[in-house]
Amino acid sequence: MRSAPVLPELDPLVHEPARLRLLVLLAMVDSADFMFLLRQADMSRGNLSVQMKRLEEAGLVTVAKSVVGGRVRTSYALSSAGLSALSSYRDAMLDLLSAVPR
Amino acid sequence: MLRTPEARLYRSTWSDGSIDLVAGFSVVAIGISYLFDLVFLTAIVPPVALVGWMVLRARVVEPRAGRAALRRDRRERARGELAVTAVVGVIALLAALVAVWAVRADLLSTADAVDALPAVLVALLALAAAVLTRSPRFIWYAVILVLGGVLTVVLGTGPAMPLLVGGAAAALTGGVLLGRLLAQAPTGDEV
Repeated sequence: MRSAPVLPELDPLVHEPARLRLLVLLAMVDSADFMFLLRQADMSRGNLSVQMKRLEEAGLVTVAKSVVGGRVRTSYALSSAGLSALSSYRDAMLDLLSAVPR
Repeated sequence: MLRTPEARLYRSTWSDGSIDLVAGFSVVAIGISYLFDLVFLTAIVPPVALVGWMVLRARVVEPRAGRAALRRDRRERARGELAVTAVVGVIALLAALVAVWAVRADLLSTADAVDALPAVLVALLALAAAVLTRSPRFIWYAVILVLGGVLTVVLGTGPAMPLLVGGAAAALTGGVLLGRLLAQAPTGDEV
């Protein structure tokens, strides 16, 4: 029988810095559009698009598209699975960092 | 510095300068209306400014800075603060009307002090905006308006001067902030 791991596992999908920033941004609002995330996360359009696609495919964010002024506006919101993943990540990270002496 | 990332994010949603620009021009317009004794125009300026600000946000700011729906707890807090601001504003306005009436009825002899009232009322609104938006720059606008109000009493320059100076300060700051947004965040398609 294997003993319980000493160090908690971190979800690599959430742990990646760009995605972590995006998930935390979405946790701070009800929903945000692509341009808002682009400005607040200070990322390139391509990188943001790729990261949001991964989060969407993993079911961590929900996506809604609309047309405003002839342009497509994509809005994102954290799903309940996304909130759960982020909470688990926070608990694991706090547990992990509690081992660091002050 | 604001304590939480959420508070900093909330403040950043007010950092585009559009509200400073529109409010600043509105205060300048009110100042001009006092200058030419067209005080009735002060009733028209706020609704026009509100519509202008909404158009500016929709056409210029949001295509660049994006749009976010605030969390419910933040929305409710902002609504509560807005309600308190409205009550304080109405009380201040009533106090100002009583002061004006007292001067006209010769109960108060400091007629020059009444010239500072419009600036002081706008300064109160600026302080409320500072609280609502968590943006300290609105406190500076209030300070400029109050100092202008004091100067107008001392120098007897009339009610327009502090409004013109305070409004210009806000409009200039708003122009700089909006110009920075236009330079740093060009609009375009999402991808």
